Amino acid sequence: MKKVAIYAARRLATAAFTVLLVSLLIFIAFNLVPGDPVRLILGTEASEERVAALRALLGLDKSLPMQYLGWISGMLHGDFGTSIKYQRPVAELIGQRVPVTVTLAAFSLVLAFAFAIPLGILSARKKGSISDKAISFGSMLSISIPGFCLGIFVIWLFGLKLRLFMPGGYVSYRTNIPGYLNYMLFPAIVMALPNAAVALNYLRSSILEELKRNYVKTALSKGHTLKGALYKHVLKNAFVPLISLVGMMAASAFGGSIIIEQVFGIPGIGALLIGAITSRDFPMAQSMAACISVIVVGSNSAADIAIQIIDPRIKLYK
Amino acid sequence: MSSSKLLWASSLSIGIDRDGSYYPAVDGIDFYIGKGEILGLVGESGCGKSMTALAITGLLPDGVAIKKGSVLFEGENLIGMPEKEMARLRGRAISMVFQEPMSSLNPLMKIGKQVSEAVRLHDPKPKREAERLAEAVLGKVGLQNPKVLMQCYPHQLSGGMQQRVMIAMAIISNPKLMIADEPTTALDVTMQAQILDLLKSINQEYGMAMLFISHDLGVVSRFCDRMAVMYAGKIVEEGTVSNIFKHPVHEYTRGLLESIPRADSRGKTLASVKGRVPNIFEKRMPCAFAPRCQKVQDRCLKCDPPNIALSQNHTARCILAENESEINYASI
Amino acid sequence: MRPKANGKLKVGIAMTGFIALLMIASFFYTPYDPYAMSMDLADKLQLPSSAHWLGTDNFGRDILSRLMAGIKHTMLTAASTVAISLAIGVFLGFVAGYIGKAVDEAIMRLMDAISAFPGILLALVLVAVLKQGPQAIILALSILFVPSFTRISRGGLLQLKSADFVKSAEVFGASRLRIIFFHMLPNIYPTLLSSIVLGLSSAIMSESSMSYLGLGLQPPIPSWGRMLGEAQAVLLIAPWYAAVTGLAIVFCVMGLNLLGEGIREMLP
Repeated sequence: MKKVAIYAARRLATAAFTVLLVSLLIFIAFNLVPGDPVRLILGTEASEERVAALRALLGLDKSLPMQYLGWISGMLHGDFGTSIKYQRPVAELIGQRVPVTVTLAAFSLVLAFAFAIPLGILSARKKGSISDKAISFGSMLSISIPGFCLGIFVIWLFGLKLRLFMPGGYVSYRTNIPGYLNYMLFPAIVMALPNAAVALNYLRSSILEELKRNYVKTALSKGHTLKGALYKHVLKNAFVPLISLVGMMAASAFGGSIIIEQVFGIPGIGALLIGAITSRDFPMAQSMAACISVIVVGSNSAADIAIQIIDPRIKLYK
Repeated sequence: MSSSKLLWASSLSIGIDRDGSYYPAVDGIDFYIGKGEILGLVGESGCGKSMTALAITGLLPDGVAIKKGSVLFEGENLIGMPEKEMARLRGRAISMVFQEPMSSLNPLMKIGKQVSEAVRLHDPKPKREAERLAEAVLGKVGLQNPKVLMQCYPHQLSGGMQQRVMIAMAIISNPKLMIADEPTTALDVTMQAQILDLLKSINQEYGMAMLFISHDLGVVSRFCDRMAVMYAGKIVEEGTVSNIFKHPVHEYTRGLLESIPRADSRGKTLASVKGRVPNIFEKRMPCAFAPRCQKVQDRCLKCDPPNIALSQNHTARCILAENESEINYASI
Repeated sequence: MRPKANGKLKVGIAMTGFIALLMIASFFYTPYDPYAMSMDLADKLQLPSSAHWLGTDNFGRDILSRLMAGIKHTMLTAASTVAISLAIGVFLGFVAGYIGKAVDEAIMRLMDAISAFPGILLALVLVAVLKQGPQAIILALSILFVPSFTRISRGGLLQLKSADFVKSAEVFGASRLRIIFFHMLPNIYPTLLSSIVLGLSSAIMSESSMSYLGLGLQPPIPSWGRMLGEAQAVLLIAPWYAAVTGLAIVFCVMGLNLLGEGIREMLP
């Protein structure tokens, strides 16, 4: 257990370093804007006083390193800056929308595994059969469809044809939770499919790999049938490498939600970010980008640490 | 006589079908194991020993199949037995111990669960009872602190301890036959001796018959009652250990015997059989050993060597054995 | 043993070849002018017919012509992206692998940081700070793809560094650059090829997603992503518009995916 703690500390330190590096990159990117950001925001005809006022408000009158430090230390204290567009603290705006995006991402992860696990087991058990080939074709198809394409198809099929939900008629969780979940189900399916395909292929090859191991022979020699050995011995081992995938899947779910929220008209973090970018609300866009990368890096590290806890034989000295 | 035979394999052939051709791994072998007897199956790797063992329990890897023959276990043919029935037999009537104990144990399952599972698969005992039995058997195979061990994962144990756990799983349902496939090869010499002692005591206490697969004739001579020497998928010499050691007939057996390290040969270079076992995709001579045989004759390249009975308890598959009839083992 | 062409490879070549043919054809011929709008209400959102095989869009433009004309824009964006990231990635990978130590560590940590980022987010950030248009997209996507090429070339190099033929080249006094270009590059070429093809497909996906959001190729350039965005607005009255545009994207991406996987499966 002590070893795990050391590993976790180390892994978190790397994660913190990555986040710092990413925040620096984001900062540089946003400050490489050709031209004066204040002028870009206010337009060329704005008065000098307004320009100076906004400059001070954004902290742009300080040197770049000071600006960066100010931004970082503010973020650490929960001050994410102020949105130009909404004239409200960014932290508050993000806070309002976090539940929506988190539900969507979590929902899609659950669905992804709900598709991937049974189908992965099936295609590994029936390797080379028609159903294996069909599953493999389906997963190829679902990683070849961009999220927004699939989203539009789902809107047409389930929204317009089958009338299982009202496209564009987002229901807030504050007013109607069943209605909210019903609406979120469809974007979650869209986000889940590519992840499910990746997880399925991973699980299939992981099971096939584990089936070759000696302990399977032992399980059979004890009197298990192949099916029994698969469920009682192989699956748990085959799931272990899948855990590291969860981190990546969570990251891709968050990335995917940016677009899918737009397709389905869901007021989540992604929609807020795109709004910030199209209205050139840089302070908000910058802080949001940093927040999203913290979430992504965090979920990746959490997955890595989880593996260490679950798999007792893993080497900890790397 | 046949009633004392526990397992009886006849003209057992195992091979691989690939690209329309058939490649034999085991080529029509016959052998038997008497009740409570230890039969050693000897030969270099690639001779078909492990395939024979896996064929008996229906665990041949994908792509390898039994071509013909039968394996009677207590009068019942194991070949072609439905998977479910076979599974019921495995562990309960025939158990197995493998070469690499580390990889043969499930890395993510506690020892206690792995051992007690071996009981519960055949005997729907309550969990507690199975665990108590598992603990007792772990003690029986010479492991200290079985209670603590039950809660351990395989990687926390040494190789020797892991092999004892494997043996515990193999004897917990008190099977009639244990197949041990190179059970001591992965262990160091001291551990090897301890494990062999353990297996011997199990054999004597429970009257459990064993099929002991090894490439080490030295181990076989100390441990087995009878032995069969395999070369390139065929049994080339078979008989009681004492008969074969007193009077080895097949050149391959002789070569293997000469390569056993002995106390009096310390310091000298060990003799070994020159050349290598043909792999199963290579074309073979009528006598597959002919290319390596020091006494090879023209006849060996032309016709199959006959299986010659040298005595009631000794046969050899070699043309030269024709001259060896009527051996008086006692005089040697 | 010569690697056998597999099913995926064959289908991938056929699908990608079909798209390539359409693209080449679009330089010389499209059924209608892809930019010609019509004010006539009757010309808008026509169902597929013998005159307009895939119908017309909400500006009365022929969808087939626009899809055909769109290929070259999409392909150009994707190809430039992959070319840039390939050049940078291979360079960085070789530098990291050859020099090793601190340089290697620094480069690889930077790559980790880039890949820790959801791709779409990086693209959005860059598009936000740069002028919208193909350049921003190409730059953003190139940065995204650099890490994978860096890893492949670094890994390939490290593997080959100890290979006999490289050692013997060193013994014979070949310069480092010479070794890299004449001995190592050809050896990692097959792996790179498959990544290039898969990179193209993911560039097309990303470009169309960005264009769909209105942050990619700007109108009136016929970009597939943007067309699908327009089609979504009229989904109820003209579902075929979304259907054919979506199918075009999926066909193209899937063709490249099959091709890339096919190449990868051919590797020993």
